[in-house]
Amino acid sequence: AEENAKPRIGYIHLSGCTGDAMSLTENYDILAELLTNMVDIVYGQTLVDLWEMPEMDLALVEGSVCLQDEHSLHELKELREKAKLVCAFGSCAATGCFTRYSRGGQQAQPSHESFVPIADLIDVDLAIPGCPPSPEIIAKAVVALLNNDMEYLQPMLDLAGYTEACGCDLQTKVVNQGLCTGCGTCAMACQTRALDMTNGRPELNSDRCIKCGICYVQCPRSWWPEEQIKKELGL
Amino acid sequence: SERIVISPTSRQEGHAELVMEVDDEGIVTKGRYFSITPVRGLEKIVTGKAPETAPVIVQRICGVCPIPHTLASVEAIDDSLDIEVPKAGRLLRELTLAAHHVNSHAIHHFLIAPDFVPENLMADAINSVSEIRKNAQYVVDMVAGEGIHPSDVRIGGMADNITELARKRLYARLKQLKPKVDEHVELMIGLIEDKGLPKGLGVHNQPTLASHQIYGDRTKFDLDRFTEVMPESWYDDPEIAKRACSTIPLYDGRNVEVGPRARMVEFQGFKERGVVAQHVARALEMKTALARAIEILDELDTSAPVRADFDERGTGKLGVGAIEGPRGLDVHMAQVENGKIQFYSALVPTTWNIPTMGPATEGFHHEYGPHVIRAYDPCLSCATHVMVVDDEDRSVIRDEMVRL
Repeated sequence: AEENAKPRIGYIHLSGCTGDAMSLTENYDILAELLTNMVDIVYGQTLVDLWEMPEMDLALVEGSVCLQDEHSLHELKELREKAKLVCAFGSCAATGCFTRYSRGGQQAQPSHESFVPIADLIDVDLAIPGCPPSPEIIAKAVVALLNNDMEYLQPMLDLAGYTEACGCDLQTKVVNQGLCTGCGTCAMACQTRALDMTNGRPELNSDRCIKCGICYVQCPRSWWPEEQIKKELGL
Repeated sequence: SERIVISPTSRQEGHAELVMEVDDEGIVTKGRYFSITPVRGLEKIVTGKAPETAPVIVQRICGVCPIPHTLASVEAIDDSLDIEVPKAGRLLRELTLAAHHVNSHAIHHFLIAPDFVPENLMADAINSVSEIRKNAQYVVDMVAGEGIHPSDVRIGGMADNITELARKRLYARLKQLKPKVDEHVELMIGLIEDKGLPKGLGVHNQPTLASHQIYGDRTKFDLDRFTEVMPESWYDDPEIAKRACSTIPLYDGRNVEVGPRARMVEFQGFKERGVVAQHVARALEMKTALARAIEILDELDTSAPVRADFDERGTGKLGVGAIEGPRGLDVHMAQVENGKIQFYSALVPTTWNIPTMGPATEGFHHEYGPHVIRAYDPCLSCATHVMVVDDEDRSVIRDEMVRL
């Protein structure tokens, strides 16, 4: 019975770079424990030799999905049927990230031109954006799932709907709304150094922006758990 | 004869298929290996954009070997813009790559562990890999800004030098890591040699190709000796040719092997061939790379400039960046003119190896096929980002390059 209690996790690689899986493995101090005792990796050709997609408690999906690649579409549809929870793992799966700039025309498959976040095609339960997400947030999300701590996961559940990301979200959704406090979290969070603070407000270098969305996700003014705020303030 | 298909091949990066024709005893008579990973078209994405965009995008070709792609990209653009990178900048770039070699080879040991490591040693082996990676990636993080997709390797050099305190700390950290790496390399080589793989497995007669023992040297890559053909003119099976997602690069008209064994053959007189030799070369290279990283940290001047001033408008010169990635020679080519990338092409390690890997399975039982494939540490996201030259005629290729 103890054996069966371990959550069954699958890793599915679509059009991504495997950087998110690499980040997961950068949980150096707990990786051996995680892989041997805490979870069962039941699917994922990067990690294990299992070809038949089984039923899974959680599917971590890395990469956006190419509409011109039939194999990817079938795999995505199948994993939605087999997984209780589907997680858009990393920004390519969550927001499309830089594959939003794809426009095809490259050999040996020039027809591959449309890459979209997986939520455009299937229902997604939670998203962990980042290019890649940090090892820490991946570990914390997995542990929260192990403990069924849905309160901790709430921001990630809400992010499943954030699929059109860009550095300019800071301007349109934060500064333009009078919400920016000039804290600089966005610039600290940016993984390509596309953001600076100018006059206390974010300044975007769009030549370096990859549309991963992490600046807006990390902005303390971008997530409003309204019910919780009302409850805590007695409103 | 029977046909064995492994799709996708496992414990490697990306999606690929191995198709083997076998005789009555199960011996492979013909092996073909090809990528089926969708083509995101990164070369086309960066065309028309600012030079600064290229390294940011193309490092995302692959999250397993992003460092070589970043370096090859900035080197190609440096060359196109005729930039002379200051010495300290060059050293920091090489330090980033040396640390990455140690990290990436350790990752490969994690992926091949089920083939060689007995169950009772598995947790120890994973911990050994993790301990080495933790320290190697710490160096990449500190020097290059981000461990997986480095933000601070820039056109003209590096974004910043490291501080004197950081240099001393990194030096001490890597010195302390040395006995651990030595022990790990000995363990892995012992387990691989004791596995009893058949003698001669994976041996082929194709030439090796490498430009430098560790870093890469654009002057050792001769564009005139390079050609590329489409899958249709390489694979004799039309169905495979249609589905294959990468083109076939040739050097002197022949498919080659690149990677750790190729580097040791070219620069250290290494003579061994085949699967075991590839694993041994990869393990030994961890020691060479670590020694070089320590040497650089010893000689680095932390008060010296690390980035050159440059004019990013460009003259349309075809720049070449040649970097020895963990999996082999990674060549990026870029032309900058009017402040935009006009042409971009990436000729990446696994693409070189793909046409060599399939035939290397031949002559042994098909159950050994995956062993042969994994000895190359294939990385398929990379291999889908190759240049277009839809012709077998070399002169046409050169003309097209010049014209572009």
